[in-house]
Amino acid sequence: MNAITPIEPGASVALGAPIDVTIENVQKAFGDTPALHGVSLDVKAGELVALLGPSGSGKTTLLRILAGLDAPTAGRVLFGGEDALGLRVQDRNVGFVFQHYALFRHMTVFDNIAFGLTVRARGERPAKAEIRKRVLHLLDLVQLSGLDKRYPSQLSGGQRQRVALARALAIEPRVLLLDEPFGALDAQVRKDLRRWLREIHDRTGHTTFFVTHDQEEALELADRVVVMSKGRIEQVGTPDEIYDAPASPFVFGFIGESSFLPVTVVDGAVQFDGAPLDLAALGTPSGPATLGFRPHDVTIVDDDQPALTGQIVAERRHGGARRLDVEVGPERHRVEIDMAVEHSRREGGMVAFRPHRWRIFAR
Amino acid sequence: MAATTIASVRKSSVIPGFGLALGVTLTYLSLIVLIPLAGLFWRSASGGLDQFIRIATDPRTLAALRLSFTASFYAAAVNLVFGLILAWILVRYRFPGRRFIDAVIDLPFALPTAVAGIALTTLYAPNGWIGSLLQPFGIRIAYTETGIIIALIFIGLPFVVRSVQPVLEDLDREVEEVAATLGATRRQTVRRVVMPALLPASLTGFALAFARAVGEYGSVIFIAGNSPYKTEIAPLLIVIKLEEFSYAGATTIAVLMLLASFLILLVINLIQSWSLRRFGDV
Repeated sequence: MNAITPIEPGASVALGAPIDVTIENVQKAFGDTPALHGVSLDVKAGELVALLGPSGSGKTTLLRILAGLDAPTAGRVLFGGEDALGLRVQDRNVGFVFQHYALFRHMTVFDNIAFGLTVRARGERPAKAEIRKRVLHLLDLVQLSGLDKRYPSQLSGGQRQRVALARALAIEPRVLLLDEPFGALDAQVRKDLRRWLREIHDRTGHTTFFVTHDQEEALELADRVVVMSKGRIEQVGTPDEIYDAPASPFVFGFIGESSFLPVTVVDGAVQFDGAPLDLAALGTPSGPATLGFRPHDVTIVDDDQPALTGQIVAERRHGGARRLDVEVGPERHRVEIDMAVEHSRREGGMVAFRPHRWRIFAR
Repeated sequence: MAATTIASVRKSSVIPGFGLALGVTLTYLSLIVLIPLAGLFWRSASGGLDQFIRIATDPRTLAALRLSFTASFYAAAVNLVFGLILAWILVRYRFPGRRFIDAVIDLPFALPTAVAGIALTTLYAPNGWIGSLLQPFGIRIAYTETGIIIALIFIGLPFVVRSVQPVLEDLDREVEEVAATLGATRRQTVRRVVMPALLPASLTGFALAFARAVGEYGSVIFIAGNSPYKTEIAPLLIVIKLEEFSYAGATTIAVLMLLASFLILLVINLIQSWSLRRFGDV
């Protein structure tokens, strides 16, 4: 598969002005099973927003409601201040891209991309030459020039997904909705497409939502990340805010590798198992709390500074470091820590460590 | 070329038993299909080429063949349209009695064709339930070509439904949803997205229904009236020739039917493989 070359700057695409999207207290239930419990979100024109969450978190349901493929049980959706729920899917003018491309397999790449233009009513349909010009332009944008006569079965996965995106862009959508757009692709193609999608977005400027369960993808690609869990929004923020200041143990755990320990906060200082740890917990009220830290944010302690001590129950190589499973405290809470490869600590031995970056969540 | 292919398959295949399976297949096909058909050709040639051409160009033979193939074509075409509708309803909607209808569709397979023929004749005869209603309008169904087509529609019903149904069940709903987001109306989606996807399976169903109708005998002879040059189908003419001990005549008509059917099925197969090659698997 040919690598995706960066898009030349300057070659702009003329499109309608992007619009704001407002989601107000949207609820959805399938029968008796609630899928969304009152979700509200304001998205500015031209923003690229990631809906991030595990399966069953309601992210795809929200995307389908925005598209008009599902109707909410309650709530409002505004496109540029105008009620969108009253519009049929056909009139909503959204570009939707599915994980498995959903290309029309009996049509050539050209006909796939032109589809949204050719189904327009006679009065609104562009002339044939105009359609042709636009399709070829989009093919150029998604870097598939020369493949217009191919059938989808003759394309690789990454190429198919780019055709799907070009097809969605062809109708000059007001909002672009991508449902796990890279989910079916292998790792390298994914990375290329990710960077490339960001470039396309910066050039076309559509208000864009994309659903993903891959936190790395969300943090790398999005202007803002919406973390969802069990039909609720857990946190909305920039990638930095989400990564550095996760609002809940769920967000902390979902956004990267993590370990948790039950601790007690006493006057802004953290204690574990009755012993002070010398970790600040500013702003957290005294009482029981949860300490969260990431395996790579841990320092091994060799002197008698305050530290967490535990028994190593497993060790394995993890990238450039050695990953240890450690059981800490009388209740043998299992945590993961990384240690430099040079350290000689073995299974069954004891290790003392302290996190140098951490988060405290009140319980 | 073929030998090397078989040898290499044997050497590298992880699925054992290719040689055995191929042997069984060929033996079975020979016993059941090829040897009887070869006998048919042998027998039709027994009277020499002159006799073959004389029988083949006999106006009565030609009329019977024309009737058989056109009536079968119309019946298969009707079954194509209504089979698609039936398959659509069975796959896309959930309603009480759906399973019952699903089961009823196979009845024409199970029913002895003579029973079907007698039942249809009783209904459509000028004094039958339906026939008597149409009589005042001067519409006659039994003992006309229309009657033959109705009998052939009856026995061909399951083919299109059963060919299209599984394909429609597998059809990705996302493709239709994407068409809607692109602005396509429901009608445009069905016409431009769904129907092309169902085309190969529809053609299969059409071909099967057509082939079955061409060879049908039992249900037609009761409703057809069987008057020579008008409502006499080719299979019936074969039986008549046999009763006259004209084996060469019977086999000649049979060979003509066989060749025509083979040609038609070949064309349909070619269209199918062309469409499969093109659309592949996405």
